[in-house]
Amino acid sequence: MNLLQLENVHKKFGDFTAVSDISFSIQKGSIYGLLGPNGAGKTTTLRMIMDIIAPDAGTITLNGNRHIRDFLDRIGYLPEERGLYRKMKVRDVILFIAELKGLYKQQALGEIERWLEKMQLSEWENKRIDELSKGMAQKIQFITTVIHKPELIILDEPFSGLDPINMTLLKDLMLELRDEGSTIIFSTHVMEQVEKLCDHICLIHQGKVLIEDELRAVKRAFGKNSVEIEYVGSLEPIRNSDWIQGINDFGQYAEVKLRSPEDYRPLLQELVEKGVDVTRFELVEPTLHEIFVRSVEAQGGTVQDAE
Amino acid sequence: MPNKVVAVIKREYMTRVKSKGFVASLFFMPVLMCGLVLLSGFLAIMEDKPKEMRKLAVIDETGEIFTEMQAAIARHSTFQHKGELVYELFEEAATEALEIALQERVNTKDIYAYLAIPKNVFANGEVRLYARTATNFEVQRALRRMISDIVRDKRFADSGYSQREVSQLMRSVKFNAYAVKNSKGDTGGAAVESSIETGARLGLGYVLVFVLYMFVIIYANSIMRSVLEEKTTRIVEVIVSSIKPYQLLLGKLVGVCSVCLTMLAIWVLFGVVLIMNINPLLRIFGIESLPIQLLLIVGTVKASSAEMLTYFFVYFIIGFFMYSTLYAVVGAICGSEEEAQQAGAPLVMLIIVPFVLMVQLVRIPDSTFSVLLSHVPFFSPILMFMRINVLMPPLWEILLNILVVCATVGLIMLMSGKIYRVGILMYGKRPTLRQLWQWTRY
Repeated sequence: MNLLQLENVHKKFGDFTAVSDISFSIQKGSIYGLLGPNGAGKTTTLRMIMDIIAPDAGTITLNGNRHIRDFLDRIGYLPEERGLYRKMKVRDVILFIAELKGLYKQQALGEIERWLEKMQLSEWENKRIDELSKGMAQKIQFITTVIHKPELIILDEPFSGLDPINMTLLKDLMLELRDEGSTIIFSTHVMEQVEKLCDHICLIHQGKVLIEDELRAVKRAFGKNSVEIEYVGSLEPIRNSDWIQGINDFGQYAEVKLRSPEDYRPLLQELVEKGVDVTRFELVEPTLHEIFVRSVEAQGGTVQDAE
Repeated sequence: MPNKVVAVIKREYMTRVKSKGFVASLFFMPVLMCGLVLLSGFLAIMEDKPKEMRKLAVIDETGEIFTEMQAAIARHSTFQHKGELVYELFEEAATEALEIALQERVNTKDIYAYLAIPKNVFANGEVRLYARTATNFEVQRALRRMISDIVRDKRFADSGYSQREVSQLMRSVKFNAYAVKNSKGDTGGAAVESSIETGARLGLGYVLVFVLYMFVIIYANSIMRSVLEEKTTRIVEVIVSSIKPYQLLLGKLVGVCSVCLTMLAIWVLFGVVLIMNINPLLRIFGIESLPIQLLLIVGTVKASSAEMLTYFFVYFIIGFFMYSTLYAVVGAICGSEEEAQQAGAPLVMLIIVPFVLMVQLVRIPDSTFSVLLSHVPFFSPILMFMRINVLMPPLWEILLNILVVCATVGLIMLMSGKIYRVGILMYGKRPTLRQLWQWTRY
């Protein structure tokens, strides 16, 4: 069952087309990744879902209903740019936003307690926001996003600015919330983050959808045409090999793109013949980044702005 | 379902009332205002009394006036300090070269001033005073009176009247002004108010208008900054994904207006209690009587009526909403505080203009010009309130005015709400006036 559905959504700002003909649907209880480089139209898309800005054309429906504004209390939204009232105390800020989301004070206070404990921020309850570190403030903001147990959680670049520990914490929380029945849509431009997390992905570029499918299906469609090689010495002898389409050399480790999925056999043979000291040779699925680059190229575009 | 606008009102109210600034203003603003009144009152009665002898040269071409002046100077309090004469007159012969020398001596502070009395002073001649400043009005006034008296006495004497007869005949009449009120007085006729009472009411009017002006300056700016904070921290995206922008705007205005009303209510309450018990309170501290300026304030407050306070609150709230809405919009369309201060500067004119006009309109409260100006919605909160104080307009006119101003405020809020909605999510360049007009029609 689809919780959220976008159909042929367009948005222009003056002469600039931010979103052009985007359609996708999100199943209830899934984690949906909206991927693309900066400026691809991710934030605009999310803002249109939140009814912060109105689309020029197309429809957005939540549970089949077009008046999303009536259901805003069932949505949690973490904007890309973070910010809270700097002079307010942690508890008061969360309480204020919880009340805006329709929670009663007593109800909200209990939830605040629970979440602060979970985030190990209980002793900061009465501190002012401007006394917190950036990471802590981000966690507080995440609490404000989910405090009202929303059906749909929209996270715009949730991982940006987090250290690895907090990144893992956030990832676990997202999985936990999904298991409790929430549906999550999040955007990111760092594609590696999505690989282990998403059920579904949507790649967008310059306001258009490139690929939209289940993550497994996407990967399968692109086949295993990449090889990871760990080696000692130099890869110079095979650099101009016929079997190789592209190579990303890191010194002792290289990601090699093959001309066709079957070419790994002759490549391995050539490595042995030319005497390269290979310590690992593995056939792998393409990374999302690679899939993205290939999709853009397939449409005759370039990706110099992809990172 | 809890009311979300109430949540906004609560936040705006609590963060301000709990702040140190609120507590500080609560105490210091009345102290400051009393201090200001005291100081200006003190300056007004402060006299230019020198401690040393001031030398005043006189060039008397008539040869008759100087001796009379020397006799008269002892009778003028202006020329005395603690009962001692502090001005010394001496005569100089009239030559052209001398005047230049005297001017030089004035410049080097050797003498205080010199006075030139022409021969034809009895007919129509001009007496000239040369000093280092021409703003010593008191000395000028005293000298003018002194010499006029001398000259006049001479003229009367020449016509054959004695001095006694003249001063008997020249007494001026006692004169006082009263304002006739619409309401009935004790005797059943129209109530009558003396000009002193009117003056006190006028004084209170000034104070209240000043309060309105100050609150708008302080708290409308505070609203502007809070809009900017929400915009720059991007928290506004979270808020408008929960409530409509106009609800946010309304919540802010009501919240901050409540802060002002709270402060005013505390002042009024304390003020009334203090004034009503002023004499027993003073006795506790062993003070016999207050300085005259403070007594005037006390009288002014006592002269205030519940009716006037009601009108004040009505116009205060309307005015506050009108000006604050505009400030909120400025906050919404700007990107930084510096930018907003600059863009908001013209708005101050909307308050300054009626503030300045008010002083003159008090003299002619029922002229067509005054009436028209008081009905300009942007000026009404100050000018209409002032008219009510000075010369009560008919009730229907007041009600009509309140209605028109309320409608204007509603219209402004409607248009501003739309600009606000677009503005709070716009970053980068400030929109032009044309763009703003387009935004109001989205």
